[in-house]
Amino acid sequence: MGKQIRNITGYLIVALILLLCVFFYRQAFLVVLFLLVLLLPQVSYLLCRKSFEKLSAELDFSAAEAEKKLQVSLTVRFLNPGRFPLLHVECPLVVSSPYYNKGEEQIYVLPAPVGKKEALSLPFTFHYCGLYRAEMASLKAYDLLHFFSFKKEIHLCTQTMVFPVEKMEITYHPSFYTEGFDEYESSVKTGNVSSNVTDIREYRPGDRLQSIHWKLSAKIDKLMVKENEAAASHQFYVLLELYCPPEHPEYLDQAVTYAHGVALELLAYHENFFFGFYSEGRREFTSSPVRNEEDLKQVLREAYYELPYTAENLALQVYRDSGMQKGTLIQITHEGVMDEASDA
Amino acid sequence: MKLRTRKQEQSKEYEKAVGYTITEPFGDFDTGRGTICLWKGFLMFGAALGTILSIVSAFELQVNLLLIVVAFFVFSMLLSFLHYHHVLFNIGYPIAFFVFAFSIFQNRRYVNSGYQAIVNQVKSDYREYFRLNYTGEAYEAVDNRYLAMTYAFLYLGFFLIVLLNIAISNYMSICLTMLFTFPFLQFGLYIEKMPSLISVFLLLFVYASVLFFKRSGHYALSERRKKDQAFVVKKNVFSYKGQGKVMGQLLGITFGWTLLFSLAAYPLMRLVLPGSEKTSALKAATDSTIETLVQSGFSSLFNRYDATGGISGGRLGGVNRIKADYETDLEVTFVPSSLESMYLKAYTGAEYTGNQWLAPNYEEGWVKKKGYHESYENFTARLEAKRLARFSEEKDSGVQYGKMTVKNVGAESGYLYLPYYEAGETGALPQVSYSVLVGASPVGQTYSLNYYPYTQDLSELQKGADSLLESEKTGANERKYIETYEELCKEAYTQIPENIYPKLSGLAAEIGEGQTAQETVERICSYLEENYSYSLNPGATPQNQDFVTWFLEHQKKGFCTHFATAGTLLCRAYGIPARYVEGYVIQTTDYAEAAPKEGEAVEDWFTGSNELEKSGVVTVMVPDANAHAWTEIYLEGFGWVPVDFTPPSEDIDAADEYNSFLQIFAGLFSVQQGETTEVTDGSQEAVDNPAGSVFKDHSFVLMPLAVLVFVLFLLFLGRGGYVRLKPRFLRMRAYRSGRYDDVLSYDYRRLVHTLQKSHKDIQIPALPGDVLKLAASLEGKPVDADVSKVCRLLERGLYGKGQMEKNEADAVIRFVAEFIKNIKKI
Repeated sequence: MGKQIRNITGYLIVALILLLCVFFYRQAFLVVLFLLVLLLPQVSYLLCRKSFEKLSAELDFSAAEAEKKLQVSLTVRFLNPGRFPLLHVECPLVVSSPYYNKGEEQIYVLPAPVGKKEALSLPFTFHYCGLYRAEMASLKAYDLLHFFSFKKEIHLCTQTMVFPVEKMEITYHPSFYTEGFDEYESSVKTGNVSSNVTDIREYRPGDRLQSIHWKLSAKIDKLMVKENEAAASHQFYVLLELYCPPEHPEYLDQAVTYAHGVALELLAYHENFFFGFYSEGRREFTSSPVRNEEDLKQVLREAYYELPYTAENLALQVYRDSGMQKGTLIQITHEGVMDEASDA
Repeated sequence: MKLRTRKQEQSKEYEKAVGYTITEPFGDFDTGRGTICLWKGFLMFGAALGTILSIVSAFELQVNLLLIVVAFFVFSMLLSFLHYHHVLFNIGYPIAFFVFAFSIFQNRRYVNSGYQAIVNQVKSDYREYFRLNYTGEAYEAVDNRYLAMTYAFLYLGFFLIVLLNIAISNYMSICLTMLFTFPFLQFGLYIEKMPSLISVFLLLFVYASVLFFKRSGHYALSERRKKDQAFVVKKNVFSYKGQGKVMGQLLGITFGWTLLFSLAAYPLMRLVLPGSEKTSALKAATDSTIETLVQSGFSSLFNRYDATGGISGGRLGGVNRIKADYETDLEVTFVPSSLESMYLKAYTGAEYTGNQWLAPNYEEGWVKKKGYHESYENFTARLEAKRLARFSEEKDSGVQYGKMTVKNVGAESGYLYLPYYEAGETGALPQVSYSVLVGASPVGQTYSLNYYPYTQDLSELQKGADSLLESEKTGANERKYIETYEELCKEAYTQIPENIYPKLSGLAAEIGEGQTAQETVERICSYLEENYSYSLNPGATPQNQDFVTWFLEHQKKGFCTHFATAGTLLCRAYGIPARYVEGYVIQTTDYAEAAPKEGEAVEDWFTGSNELEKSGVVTVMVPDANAHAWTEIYLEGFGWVPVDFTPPSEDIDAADEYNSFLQIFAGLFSVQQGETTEVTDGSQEAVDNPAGSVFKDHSFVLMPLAVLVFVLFLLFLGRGGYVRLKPRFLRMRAYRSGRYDDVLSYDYRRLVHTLQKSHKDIQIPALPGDVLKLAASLEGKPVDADVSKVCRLLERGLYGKGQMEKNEADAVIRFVAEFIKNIKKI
């Protein structure tokens, strides 16, 4: 507003000087010039307004999913189909995440030339895992003389999901090995798993060699593997705590990173497992079987939409209270893996 | 150092929310650096070409336009693209300057001649407009004006483009652009010579474009050193600096619209407005200044001495116009006895040098040659008074004898102000030297004297004086002295410089000599009155011009010094001894309304017949406007008699009403604004009071310059304050916007600075916490839990990332402020 007042004052001074010249010289040339100056704001207003009415914008992340620490570009594009360029278009942009913040408004002042889509690319580097949403609610532009401003509502939104990349060094609790799991592990190591075969399926890359059904493979000339009961019984339940105090947003990022690491580790051992988290808003658990990395990503995607809670170990508490305990529980918090022995 | 590094690192990241950063922002935003340079170059080209074309077309100068257009385009692009890269800028500018300087040196003959040709052509048109007789022709070394003027415009254009490069490329300033171009448009407009359509169009296009870009705020190139910084970041607003594509589009549209408008408006421009045949009063007021400027050059705008009101000590020609301040110079108490003006003589000029009347110097020159006897002067001094007294005695009216007191209120203190003819009976201040009364009257001092009022007819007086001389009972020596003095006067006071003698003698022949000296004087008076006009604003005499020749041949108008000088020298041309005199004149109008002084008997102040019977003892305030110059001629048998050659002023034209354009503004500040005061120079003129006392004794041209210098000085002084205050202001802003880490950073630096100043022998620790602990220990405080907490908070503020709460920051701020306060007390 202050700038507009300054501009108008400056304009009036110029007009007054010109008026003085008109009276000084008394020449038609200067009268015409004076009229031109008087008409300038109106012309500026009309041209810019018309152009602004036709102006549209686009908002887009360069990748719908990205890995932590890698750069993702957010592109803002203007399409000005009018015949007049706009030099000063303000677009308020809010980038928010359900996990970490509600987003702070940043205003980008960009030009909107005639015709082609003008793009601004903002290189984002995400440090925490989660869902990030970019929104633009309105556009504001000024006329050439900065006397008038025009505003219109637009609702543009785009988002990207950021996944962890690093495989964490996981330190298992000793009890993890002592209760039930060691027997299974030893039988796997000796190859004595045939009695538990429940299914036979085609070989997928990553399957262990021990699980190949060699006889059948030879018969049908295609690699087939045996799925045993132990693997399908989902003995492990990875429980992600969506605990995130406001002052420590990194807690949740750490928890997600740990959970991702544990999950990958389990997958590396061909352990199919359940991955779950507790939704405080819906008051229910979301659990999904994870057989491969795609399953893992899918369940994480679902988790990213949840709002974090501030009560520590809330998921664990509800899990216990609900009596749905089965298999081996692996609770993941920002401190790492807090495994629990299952009594099933 | 660490803090600075940290700040720099922070400035590269635009972390606005938890979870992400926008590092090296806007890397692939296409600014189009080269395109921006190109458009700016076009604007500079348009402005320079429009400006030069406005002069060329208005004054119909013959130049090679094609060459000028091509050269201007190349210059503009060259200078504009110097901004493309900092290396190019740093190397290119000195090279361009060197090439320009070398080239102008090589072609100086053509450039100088071309410039003089342009000036001559412009002056010629102005002379025609103002109907001036003479404006002076500058010497043109090259006969081929076409070539010379093309050269001159090329170099003028280059210089203009350099200035426009600053105005447009750096600042995109409409004010600077207009400052560098609009005055050139005025050259033609002022004398109703219209510039060409294309020049007007080009200038309009540039003004409009510069205005649009400036208003939008998006015209700058990103930093020359950091190409990627295409955005300006203020708080949470990221504004792009400039973009070539959008600039180009806007320029194209502005170009098209301006062209259409210019073509459409062209017929309108030729219209004659109703009332345009009359010159506005404002323009009439400036006309005299412009006229003087055209005639006498820029030097005429500056006074070469500061005695524009009051006595000038014989200096001539340096005054452009009379600017009296109307403040009292003298306070004179006497009994008026005649309707004739009373002259108070102060300065006597004997030798004319061309721009000054020198006082008689008897240590050298003609007096020394003749052999001077002091006793001779003692006798001849005040001889006129004695003769006048004797002459009056023989008349029926008897001797008129008066007493006068003169108080110097604000006049020059180096002179005595004495009436005709001072009796010398008081034995007061006046000292006599070589028949000239000399002495000093310090400001505030009052002196009294007796005098014989000069109220007699010149012819009668001379006759009487002759008879008086016969009856004078003087010895042989005294008679010899008088004869010697008269011989001396005939030789010394008839001297005319050789260079002006032919002119004056020719003029004297034209005027014709009378039977008597009185008749000759009357002829001179009539001639001057008929052929020359009185003006308080005649313009200064150009440098190297003879004052009286300039006045008689070219100027033909002037004030008292012009007429007195001309009259004196013309008298000398006839062989009449004459000298130039300066002083004050008191007219009847000055004391007409003055109330008689109470308690003073007229008899104590005046004896003899009084033409003004009812007059009493009056005190007259004599302002500086009453300062005057006149002539004294020597009449044999009597002595020196005052003669006033200054004619009365007639109509006061529009210019004199305002006196000058600049004085209009001076009048705004005048304490006497709106009043009408009678101004007299001699006794001839009355004009509205034009000037205020605020600007007394100052040139109205120099005043703005002085203000400018003063402002620059203040800015210079203020810079120190700015450097000191800016960080505080930024700190305040940071605090208000919640950036407490910045506030702590500032406070920490201040703390360290204070510590360094107060304890020069102490090694300042590296860590902020340790610095704070050191400060506490120096203050005598124990390093307890509270201090440790503050230390932690400070370190968190400095090394954390915006996680400080207000109350936490306040704790640290309070601690630091308290410490600085205490340490200063110590």
